[in-house]
Amino acid sequence: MTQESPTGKTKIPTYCYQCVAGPDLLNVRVEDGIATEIQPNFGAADCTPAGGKVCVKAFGLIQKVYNPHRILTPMKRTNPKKGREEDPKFVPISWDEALDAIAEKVNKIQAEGKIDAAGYPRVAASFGGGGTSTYYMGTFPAFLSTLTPIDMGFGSGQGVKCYHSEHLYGELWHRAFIVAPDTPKCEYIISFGMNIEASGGVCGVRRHADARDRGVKRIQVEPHLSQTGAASSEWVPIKPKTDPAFMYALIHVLLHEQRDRLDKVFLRDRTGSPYLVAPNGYYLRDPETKKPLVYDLKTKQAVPFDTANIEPALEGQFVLSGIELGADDDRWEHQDIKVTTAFEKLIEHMKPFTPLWAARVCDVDNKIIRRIALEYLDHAKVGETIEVDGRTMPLRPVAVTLGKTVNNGWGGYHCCWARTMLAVLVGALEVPGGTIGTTVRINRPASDRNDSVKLSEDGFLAYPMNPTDKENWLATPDVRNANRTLVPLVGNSAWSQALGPTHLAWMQQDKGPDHWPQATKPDLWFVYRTNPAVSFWDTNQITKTIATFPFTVCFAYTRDETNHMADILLPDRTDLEGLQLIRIGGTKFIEQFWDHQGFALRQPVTEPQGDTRDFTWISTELAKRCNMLEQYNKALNRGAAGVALKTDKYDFSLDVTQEHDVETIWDANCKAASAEITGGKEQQGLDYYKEKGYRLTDFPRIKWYLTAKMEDEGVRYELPYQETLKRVGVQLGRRLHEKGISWWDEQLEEYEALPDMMDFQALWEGALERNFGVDISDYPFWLVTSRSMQYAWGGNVSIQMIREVSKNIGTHGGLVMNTGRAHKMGLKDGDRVEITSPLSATRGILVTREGIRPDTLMLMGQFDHWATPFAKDFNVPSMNALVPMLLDLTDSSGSGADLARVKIKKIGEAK
Amino acid sequence: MLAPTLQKRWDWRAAGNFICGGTGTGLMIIAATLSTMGLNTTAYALLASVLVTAGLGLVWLEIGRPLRSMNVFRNPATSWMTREGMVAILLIPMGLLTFFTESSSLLVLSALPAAFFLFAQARILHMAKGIPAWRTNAINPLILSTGLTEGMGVLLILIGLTAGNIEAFFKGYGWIVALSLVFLRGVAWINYRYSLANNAPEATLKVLERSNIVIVLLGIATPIVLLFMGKHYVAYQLPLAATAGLFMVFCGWFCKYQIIIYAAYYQGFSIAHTPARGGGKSGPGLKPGWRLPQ
Amino acid sequence: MTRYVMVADINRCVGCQTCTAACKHTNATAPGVQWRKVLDFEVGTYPNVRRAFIPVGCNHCLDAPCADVCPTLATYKRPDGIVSINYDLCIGCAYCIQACPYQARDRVDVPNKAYGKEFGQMKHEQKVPHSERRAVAQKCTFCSDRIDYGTANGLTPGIDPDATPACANACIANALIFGDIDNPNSNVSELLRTHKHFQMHEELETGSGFYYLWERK
Repeated sequence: MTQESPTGKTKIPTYCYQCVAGPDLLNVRVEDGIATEIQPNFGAADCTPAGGKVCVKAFGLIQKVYNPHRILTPMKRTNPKKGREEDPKFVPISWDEALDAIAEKVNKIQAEGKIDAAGYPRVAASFGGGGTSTYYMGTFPAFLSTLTPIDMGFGSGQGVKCYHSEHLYGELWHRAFIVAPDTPKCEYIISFGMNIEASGGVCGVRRHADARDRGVKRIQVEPHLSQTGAASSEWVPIKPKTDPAFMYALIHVLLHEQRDRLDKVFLRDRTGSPYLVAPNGYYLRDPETKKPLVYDLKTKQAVPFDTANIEPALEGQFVLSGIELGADDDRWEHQDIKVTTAFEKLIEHMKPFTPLWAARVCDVDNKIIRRIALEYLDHAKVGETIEVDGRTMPLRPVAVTLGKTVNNGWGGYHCCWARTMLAVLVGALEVPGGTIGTTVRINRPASDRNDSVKLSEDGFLAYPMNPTDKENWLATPDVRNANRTLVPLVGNSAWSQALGPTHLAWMQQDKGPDHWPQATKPDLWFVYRTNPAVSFWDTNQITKTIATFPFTVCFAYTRDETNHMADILLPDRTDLEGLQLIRIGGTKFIEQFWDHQGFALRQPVTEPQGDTRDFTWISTELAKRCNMLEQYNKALNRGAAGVALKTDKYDFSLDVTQEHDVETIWDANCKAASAEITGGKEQQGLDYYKEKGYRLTDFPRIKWYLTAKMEDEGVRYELPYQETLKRVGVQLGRRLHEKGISWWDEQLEEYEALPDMMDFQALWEGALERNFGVDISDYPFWLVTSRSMQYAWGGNVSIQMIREVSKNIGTHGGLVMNTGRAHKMGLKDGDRVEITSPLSATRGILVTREGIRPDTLMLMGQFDHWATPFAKDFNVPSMNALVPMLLDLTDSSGSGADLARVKIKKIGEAK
Repeated sequence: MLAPTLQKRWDWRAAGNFICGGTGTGLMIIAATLSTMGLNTTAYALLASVLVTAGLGLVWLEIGRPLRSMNVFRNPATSWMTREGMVAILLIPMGLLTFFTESSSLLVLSALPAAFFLFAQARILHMAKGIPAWRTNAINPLILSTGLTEGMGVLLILIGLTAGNIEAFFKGYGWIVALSLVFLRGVAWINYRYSLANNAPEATLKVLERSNIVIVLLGIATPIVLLFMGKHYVAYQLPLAATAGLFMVFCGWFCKYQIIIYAAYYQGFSIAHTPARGGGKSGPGLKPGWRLPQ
Repeated sequence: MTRYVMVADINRCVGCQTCTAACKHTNATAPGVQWRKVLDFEVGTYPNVRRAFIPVGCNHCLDAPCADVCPTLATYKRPDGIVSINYDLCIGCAYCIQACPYQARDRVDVPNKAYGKEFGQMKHEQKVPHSERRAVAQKCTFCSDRIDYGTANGLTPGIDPDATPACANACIANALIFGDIDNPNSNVSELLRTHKHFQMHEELETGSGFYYLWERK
């Protein structure tokens, strides 16, 4: 007997990329043209790491289409006054009117000059979700490319709510914009606040579940018991912002108690450990070749690091001669001076950081710290190997992961360095089972980490630092967050602006620092899938700033707090209504490392609602109206929509003089995509992708690890000693001081060859006391945040179903506080409380839980909406209003941390 | 969310069925009993039938699909709700017939379906496995004894309407029956509460604790005192008996309302173990909202 | 014989609520009604605290208290162990709701309007109104239409997606596993052999068809 499957007759394949842990493939069940159900795409089960499944967020997409709160027609503001209290008085207008108004603005800017008097781009654009908005904006990047330069530096949390230090240092050290354990093979993970079960997406959750089933031991070190802590073998409640001390103690145990068990071969051959450090802190170099020297135990002399057949000494002090090259033109010539290996420096550096010392800092029993260090070492299996794609590689199934806040602001450098060192000491970096990177965004090419491996003159991975030398330093910032001027590490890729320091762009709108151009307002600001008015810090001030921007164009799904200040609202078609082809697979964000790579299509599964338009249509129309059609088409042909339409193997390029409809553009992209992954042999077009949803080819697993490439090219990781950073820091300091700038001096101190420990808690306390004139003891609690899997990145606060199911997680309802501590203060679950930081105050419901330190409070997610329909009735507070933007709390990478000091007061009884 | 939550599905209308049904059937049974002791009680059969009908009517108002209500008779094999409905079909006309024929024999006969109906009501609660306050065995004697006591109470309130009944009540064993019922209901109540100690959600126990004083003082002590006074002060027998009846009825209704509306917390959720996560160890379980066993 | 059961590996579950959402889609349940959901348990006191995520829903009991009390035979036990409801017979007396120790049953009297009366029904809510479920008892069906389709077409429930409940299909941690416990070679039998497990409220002797794996043997 056969009958129609109850799972539905019509299923349309598409993808979900609402969060950076995507993309995931899915099917939409459609009944008579109405989308009724999200389903896994089991057709892709064998070629996707998560078995063709999607997470809870994807299930919000049906309501997202039919949500009655949607904006369904272009609107314009009729109240010229902007502000939270002002009614924008939006009125519906035609697409013609809306697009013409924008084109008029663009044309005026083009005519008057793209750069304003302060040297900043007059067009700005902000996109949310760690780049995921790109996967929904069709060909808009091609249109934007015709308007460059554009200031992309007005962030909505980028730099402070991302894995910021990891992004920068991860890319520096091992091409790892995102660092992950090789979970499929890992056996022991120490996770410092990394909430992988909430932020790892389908892939992360599935992989870690499999790992748990296998018996992986994951130790979760964090102040409150998150979903990840819940799913870990052990929870270690650590004081907020003391993670560096914990990690330093782990390194101390390895170095000072277990040194013989470390992976000395890896340290010797793959790192800068044997490099000799001269008295001024720079490497001792060969006077002729200028190459760093190592001490060869075979010939008992110093030789350049890349000399063949040598046995470099890892430890020890030697009396040797050579030159030392410092910052700028600093150069020292040494005769018979005492030099030390970088590894010996490390040993010395880490000596004070005993578990007993760390125990006091972290409020964690020293026995636990030592036990974890030893368990880590035991599980590292130093010496074991495994075969991957026919190549024998080390197997080191241990990893350390870092969460946000741990990774952000002061201490982020220390944590990233210590984490990478923990891998390096046991040879677990970029090897099967160990700590690996999953994507690159600062190095090129972004499509394949392996291809970005390049040898520097000193034998390390070459890195595209922003120049700090006299001739090439960008003395005048070219965007408002001054990323290339202040943060050499941020590089100059398409992502660099968004990496910040993005809060600097906002802070300077109020008042810029000394000797610095006063930041101007962008004449035209595009906003898509982001809501800085609730998702950044000091949201009250940001909201006021946004209100001062003269012409804001928001692509709008519903009304929200940012588009409350918009001049034009453009309703684009949502996830299930638009058409777009994207690249999938390979190694992408978080734990998305695949055995396949290729392309997936997002396609309309239902009739678009109202007078919404496809983003590609909007982009083409704008290009046409701005007289940029030819440039726009050329950009498309170059690959601005994701695939180059013409290579030496194929040619599907579009006629640059013609306006092309949405389907034509994506058909060309589909054909080019098919041709790209088949070496020009096949050219399936849009129809194929519409039916199948995706097209994949293999991605060799050996590419997950840099090891093969590093070994083949003879490249070393620049660890443990940070000579490059030290030099860059000194040079940057000189450049800034030459301009009379001293407000970045604290940040400059962070450019250390071996990061010095600091009292990070005191650093926060001091900054708050100084800037707000408060006595910090009046604010007894640390306030931290945590990710909500149901909401994170989704822009889905107005989706009823998401709200409904997220309530099943106990910590969603309000301010989470330790039960015992609450009782001592006479508070109980459900009480209404006021939460006050030195900056401002907010209100919410108290949620008492046992799984949080008594000195810590937690506010999940980012709520506090006041304009977004549905969400504005949640009455759930957010920490964002409470956290100030302070230069003092900005680290050298331009990051700050989601951390506040607060006090609470009861304002109402539980109902 | 994990701890037992209060049932909201059966509201005052359902409670009304247990109140009316219990009192009505109790009245039928007691009227039959006392008729054998020389009281003229056939008229009560009408009120008994009306009460039972009213109770069922309230339920009819509560069900989601009242037009399908005849489906209620489909499961006599295991459902006490079906059985309750079926016996009502017998009980109500018999009561009416008793009233019109004034036949004491018919009244005694009617007491049989009434007893069955009352028992069915007890079992309806007893079989509700989701609600610890109902599912205990001790709910049966409580519902039975309180139904009978309420019936006795109604009879006493109205005893003055039929000449000679009050005298017969106190002269014969009627008042002993009444005393015994009140006493038995007291025992059933204590037994009920005892059966739930450590065997029901904390929230349920709190509600019962709160109700206890009302039930013991007004439902047990007061009617006993009044009945003894009635026996002693012949001149005031009528008001004393009626007042005792009032308390007997009130207490039964109060008790049932408390149990059905306020003490009816669901079982809630529990786990026997927390899992071993990966290479970690497993841990203890939890039964939120319940006192740990002593 | 065949008896379908659900197994939840609570070592794997992370409480993401994807099963909850998938169930809501597949069954078009009303706002606030969740035939499947995952509870967030916290056990112990600081600092010795554990947190566990526990999927719950209808346990499809062997001795189903809901079926025993149902006056209309609307709730009945299928030969394959699934407890089903014939919506056309149910009078909505809610007795089964009181009889279920797992709080698995609901009754909804109004059409689905996720955004409230003011905004009416969305298109997809209109498309799958399930008016047969209005004002009568409802609960998890183990997606019995899929089971029936699967068995009629030679598919294995719990293995083939078209014959497997939506929650188990959707579970991103593979924590929910559905299958035939009477088949010693089935996926669920294998898991129950290799893991220690418990059922919720075992003391109530309902013969629950929902097993929680808490440790490997």
